[in-house]
Amino acid sequence: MIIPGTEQVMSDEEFLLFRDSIYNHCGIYFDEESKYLLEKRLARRMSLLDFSTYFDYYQFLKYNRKKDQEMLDIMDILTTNETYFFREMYQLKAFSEEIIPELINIKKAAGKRDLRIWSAGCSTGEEPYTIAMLLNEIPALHDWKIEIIGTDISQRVLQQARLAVYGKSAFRSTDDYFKEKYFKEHEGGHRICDAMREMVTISHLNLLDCNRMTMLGQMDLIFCRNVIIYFDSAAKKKVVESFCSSLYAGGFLLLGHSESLMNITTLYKLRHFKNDMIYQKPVPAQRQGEL
Amino acid sequence: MQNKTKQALQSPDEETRRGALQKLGALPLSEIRELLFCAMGDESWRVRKEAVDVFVSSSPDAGSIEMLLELLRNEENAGLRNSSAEAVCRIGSRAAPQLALLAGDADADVRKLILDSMGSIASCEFIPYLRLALNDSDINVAAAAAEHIGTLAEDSCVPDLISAIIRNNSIHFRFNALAALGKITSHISIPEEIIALAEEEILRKGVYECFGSIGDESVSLILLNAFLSPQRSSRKAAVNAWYRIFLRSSATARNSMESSAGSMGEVGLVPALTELYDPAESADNEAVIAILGIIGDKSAIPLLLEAFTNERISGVALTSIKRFGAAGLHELASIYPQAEEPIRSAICNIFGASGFTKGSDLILEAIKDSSPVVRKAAISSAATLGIKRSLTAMVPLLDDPDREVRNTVTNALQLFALNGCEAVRQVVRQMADSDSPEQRCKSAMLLAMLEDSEPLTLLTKDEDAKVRESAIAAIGKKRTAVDPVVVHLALLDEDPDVRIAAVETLAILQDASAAEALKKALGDKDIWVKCAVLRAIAVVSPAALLDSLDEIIQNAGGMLMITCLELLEADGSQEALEMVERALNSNDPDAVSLAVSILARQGGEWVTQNAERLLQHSAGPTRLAWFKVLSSLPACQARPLLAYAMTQESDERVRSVAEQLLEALT
Repeated sequence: MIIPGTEQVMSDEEFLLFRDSIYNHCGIYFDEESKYLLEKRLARRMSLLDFSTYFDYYQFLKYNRKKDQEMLDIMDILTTNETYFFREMYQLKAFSEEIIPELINIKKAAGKRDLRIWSAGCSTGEEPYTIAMLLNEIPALHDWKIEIIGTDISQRVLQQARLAVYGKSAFRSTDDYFKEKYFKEHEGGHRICDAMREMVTISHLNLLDCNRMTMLGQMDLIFCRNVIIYFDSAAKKKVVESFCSSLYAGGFLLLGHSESLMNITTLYKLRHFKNDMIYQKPVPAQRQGEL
Repeated sequence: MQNKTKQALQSPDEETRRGALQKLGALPLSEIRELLFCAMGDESWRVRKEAVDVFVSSSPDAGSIEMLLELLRNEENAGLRNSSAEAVCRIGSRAAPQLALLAGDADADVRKLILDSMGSIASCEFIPYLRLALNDSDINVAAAAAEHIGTLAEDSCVPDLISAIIRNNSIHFRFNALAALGKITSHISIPEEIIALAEEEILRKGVYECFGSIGDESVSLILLNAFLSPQRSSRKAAVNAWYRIFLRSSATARNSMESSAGSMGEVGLVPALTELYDPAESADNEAVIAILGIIGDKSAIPLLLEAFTNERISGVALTSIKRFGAAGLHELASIYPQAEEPIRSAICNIFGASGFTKGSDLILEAIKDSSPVVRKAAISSAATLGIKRSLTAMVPLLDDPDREVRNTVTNALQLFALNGCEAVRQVVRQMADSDSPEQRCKSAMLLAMLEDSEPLTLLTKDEDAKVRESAIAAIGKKRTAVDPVVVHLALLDEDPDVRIAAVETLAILQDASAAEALKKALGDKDIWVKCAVLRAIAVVSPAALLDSLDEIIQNAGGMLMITCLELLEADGSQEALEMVERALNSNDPDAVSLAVSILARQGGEWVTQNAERLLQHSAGPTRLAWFKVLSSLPACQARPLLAYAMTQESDERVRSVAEQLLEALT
């Protein structure tokens, strides 16, 4: 890649330096084939910050006082944020029609009326708000305390998630029923109603930061769809094992349709529901039925 | 003493003489006293001043002071007399016995100089001598005694001064003695003989001032009549005196004085008083404005309004206006339509401060005034008066182009909320839903005050970080009952200011899981957040603080280290001090300097007990800092420690500074 006006290219050595820094920071792994992609995306930042060589930029990223902020800005350009409401409907059907009723029964039996759900890698917020709408449609949950927490490593998307204003493409899979019931027109698109915003909290989190992950507290269910595909095996293992620590026994982990824990971890069991197959944190034998 | 110095003192060049005097300062006074006395009479004032400086700084003994005072008798050299007087004044109370001896000297000039010195030293121990001197046969001495009693403002001397005034018919003395009484505060019935002195034009002002200082209500009628005095200075003195007596009188006496003043309304007092009003002299204006209110003549209202705009006397002006009651306030309403901007604003403020709800319509109109100053005043008054109708008019002003007006609306809404006005809830919710982040920020505190937790919780999820910060902070400041999870999750916000607000709120709310959450938040990458977390841990779980600090301090630097040290000092335990000592190894000079200061503040005993160990610190700058600390101990403690440390010190630079410190001690 040649930076416009500089004729600089990223050497193999520089690629390795950047790749390792990014991997150590967030677990996103660029293999040799992705060098072009990384070079192209970083070139935008270099041009903006007026660096003439990749090595100068690397030095900045490594040693400058503002290096942490720069890494956050890099996250904004490296992560893919394209998503939409009610994505992978078959899985959401399993969630609202099979998993949630099961959780309701278990919770009720334990005398509890609360539900904590985490949307890890929530991007611009379509997923956590979809979850909020689906749960709001379940009458049995109406007097429950429901918390949905959406997290992402990119600060830019968090801003959009909190603003919760969406254009046409976000509604490509949305029934008019939901759009009319939960959205109102707003400058630049449609904004999710306050009742749904109240159910959702958006926070910043690097999935590799286990300490901060514990600050979220224990969850009944974690959505982490199409996120760990960017990680290598070691990072995947670390993240899904941290998820396991964050889940109550019997809690569920919902991954993207192309993602699997095979050869990654054996901490979960795979449950076969009518609409989908979902990972579940096993309940110790003596505590069956607890959450 | 070298002959060279003596020769220099005879030099025709004043700088050479002055330089020689400076050198004399190093010698014992007994060796140089005569030379100094001689120099005190030098033709050059700079040389005389230097001689006085050297004499005073040489801690003269009683004998030397007596000799100094003898110089007052020198009739030929005024410079020498003045230098002697200046020196004795600077010696102060230490010269009291010698001054007392000369207070009864046969020479009147000496007696006067002695009294002047006593007055300059201004010590109460001279009162008996000054009191005695009131009866001095020499008028100048007696007048000086009166003047200095006034300087000391000694109220026990009032009867002596009065007796002396009656007895001594010298105008010069009476003038001084009346002025002295004018500086003393008492509350007595003034004798007829003193009252009669007001007949003498030259003493009249002094007599009135004396009334104001020591008189009671019995002279108030005399003063009231003097309000019409053609002599402006006497009139002014009478007005001020009347008001001073009024302020310190009993409620009964005040009523009587008010009633007398009220009955004078018809005799043209208002123009006479108005003429005394001078916007540049606020001290005198206070009396004028207060009395105009007491007289209660409506023709004074425009002046009272003007006075209200002067912040130094606005309180007195308001009291005066309030004395007119509803009639006066209606009068203000009639002035309003034609009034200039400051007066319109003043009227709004007065309505609010007087609780004049009948002025609501005017206030509502003023909220829409073209002037931001008037709008501000009207908004504040509407809130003070609790005019609910004003809420509708206030809401658009949340977008007022004037920032102060916008802030005043927010403050007004807070007042409505504080007074339990439910109607304000709707307005605040509108603010929380506004497109303007500034309004949403302001709504946070209001929602917290109203305990309106639902929209407040929504603000903690706002897209604007400032709004989230305000909402989280408001929850803490007002201890609003919201789900604690809201605050806990804010610890994960991407904006450090929001995280700091969350930490501080957790420290205030101290819910059951706060300690655990704070412990986790200690891993925050932002230094400012980390510092806030440490401070919060000190509040929420002090028992866990030292462990947390121990964890952090190993790698801390800069501000984080400073915070750790401050918290350790506040903890003050032995373990904490040991951790402070470890910070002496820090690479950060600021941290080392603070650690040294903290340890030094543990007291001389602690420092001496640990001195040997601390002076063996591996870093030169730290050892140097300890040398400095030790040198501030009492010399008998510091000297052996420093001397010992010097024998051990290997760093030349440190040795050299330490040597200087040791020299200074000896």
